[in-house]
Amino acid sequence: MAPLIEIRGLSKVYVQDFLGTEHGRVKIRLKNRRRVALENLNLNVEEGQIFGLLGPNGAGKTTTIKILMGLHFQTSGTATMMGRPLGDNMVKEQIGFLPENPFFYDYLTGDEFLNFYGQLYGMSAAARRQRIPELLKLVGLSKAAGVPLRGYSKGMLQRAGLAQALLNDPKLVILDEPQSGLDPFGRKEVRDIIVRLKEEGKTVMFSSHILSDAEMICDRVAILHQGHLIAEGHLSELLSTRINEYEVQMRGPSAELLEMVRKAARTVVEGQGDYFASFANEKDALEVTRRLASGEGTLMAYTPRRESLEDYFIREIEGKRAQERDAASTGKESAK
Amino acid sequence: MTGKVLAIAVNTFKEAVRNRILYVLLFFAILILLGAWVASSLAIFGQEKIIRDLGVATINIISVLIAVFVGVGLVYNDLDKKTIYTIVSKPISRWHFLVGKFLGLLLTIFVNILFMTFFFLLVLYFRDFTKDSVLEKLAVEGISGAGLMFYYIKSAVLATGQALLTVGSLGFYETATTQGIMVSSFLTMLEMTIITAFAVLFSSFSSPTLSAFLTVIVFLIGRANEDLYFFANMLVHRAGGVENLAGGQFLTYWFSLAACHVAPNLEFFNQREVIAALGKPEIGFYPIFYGLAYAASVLAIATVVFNRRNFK
Repeated sequence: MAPLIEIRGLSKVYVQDFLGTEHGRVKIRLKNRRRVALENLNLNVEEGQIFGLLGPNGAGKTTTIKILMGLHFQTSGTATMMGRPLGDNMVKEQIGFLPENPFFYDYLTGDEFLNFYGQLYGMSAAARRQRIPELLKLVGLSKAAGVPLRGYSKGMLQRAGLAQALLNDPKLVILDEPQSGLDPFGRKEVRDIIVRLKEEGKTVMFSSHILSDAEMICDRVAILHQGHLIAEGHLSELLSTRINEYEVQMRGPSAELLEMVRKAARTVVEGQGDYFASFANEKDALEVTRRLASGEGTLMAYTPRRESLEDYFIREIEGKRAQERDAASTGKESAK
Repeated sequence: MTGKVLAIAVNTFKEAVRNRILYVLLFFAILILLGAWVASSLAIFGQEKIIRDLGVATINIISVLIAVFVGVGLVYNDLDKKTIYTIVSKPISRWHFLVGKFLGLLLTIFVNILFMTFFFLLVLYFRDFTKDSVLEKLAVEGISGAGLMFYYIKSAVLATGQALLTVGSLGFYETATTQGIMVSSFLTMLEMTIITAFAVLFSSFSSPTLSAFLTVIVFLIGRANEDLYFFANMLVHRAGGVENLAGGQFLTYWFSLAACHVAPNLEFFNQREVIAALGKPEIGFYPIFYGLAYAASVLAIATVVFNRRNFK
């Protein structure tokens, strides 16, 4: 089956003109006036997946999404959605999109707001009358339907934004940082909605900084760094299944034991009377638990830890940065 | 397609009528129209001319100011606040958005022109300049305030409709003054169609301040169009031919000629002559065609510019 989103060699270079405005259509090459936001990106998003686009600030996540949604034009490369070119209105009819930190017409009430976007989708008045209350209920805004958006909290606005992205019962939902600025409850609500969309057979692509959430719900992820794709795949492929860390939480260890722990552990942190030690070696961790059991203190917790997406992300990004530093210093030396 | 453009237009109208600048401008319009009443009362002769000229000029200038100060922010705000992201990602084309914005702004300006015209006619009526036989008949029959308002609204709608059908002569009113004012307001609407198109064009690629500046420049050149043409020809005439023009004069000549050819000729919508002709004022077909065709061309250019740009 053909992928729902297919990106081939996508690049985006922003060029600053003499007014300081950035655009990407004019091929002017002025020194220090070019910014490469995306370089030769290749990606596939398959149907029915939750796909996470991850990366630090300036990685190119939003640029990728903007190009897919026809808000920016690529400098080179191609992309298709549902086998059709970007910007095709037939494709847009089947897509729901929520941008990062969305701003809406705040004088409209929740109901009017969804009605306006329903009209843009070309929905009939009857369809809108049926769909809007359903969506307001889904995102928990039924009671605020008659309140102008200027009276909404950030979390409510984000949920209203989600509702407008789901008005057309889309096949593909693209969300740019949907959890940005939300409290833990808000994040959970967004996460639950994304999972529910997948259960309904929809494909969801979202960008995020919040790796723990991405790890919880994504089938596949792509990690971008400074416009380059540095990793892509199923989480099970990317994350090593082996245990890579053993954490011991202890209370009141003897001075000898503490000395041994400080020598053997990667890190030791003290907090609220407890010591948290992290060991790379299982043997050392077990030795500490044995000595605690024999009366040299109290064992509070012993946790073998698998590599998390955050560990992987930091390892990959730091590796990339180290490579760049090496390349830069080699360049300087050869210049001398 | 039409439904989507209309949805944007109606939403733009809702947005525009919330703009405080609009009400400040309308307040000034009312103030000047009332001032015209006072000024005409103080004059020894030509009272009707004073109030008429001041009123027509007020409606025209305030309309331009609305087009400039309300109009230039409308497209820019959607770009600046990124509201446009959720709009153009829907199954609409970018030109739908621009045309919707244009129509919404135009609707705002038309409603305001009608309001100012209505208010002006009321001032004239109470100043005893338009009490024609129809109104007198109504007055004798004990017309109420609401009835008078209804009469004027009906008249304004009918007159606009008739003018749109290019009947040439309104013929609805009994007095030449009332006819002249209705025709003049209709011409102002046509003129604003062009100015609004420019406001949308400029705000599709530049900041509100620059857009406002450029729109005002277009209006001024448009109003001075025929004078500029005359000035360019006078330069050539005095020098005895284009080849005899000195460097600075040569540049002035070409600049004037280019400006009056590129900018719209707003003299087509000049109300002074309409008002001065106290016979039966007529609107020919040409100003209507010119206004609509020019605005459509400017919008087409705006669409080309807008289609190519990245939204920041």
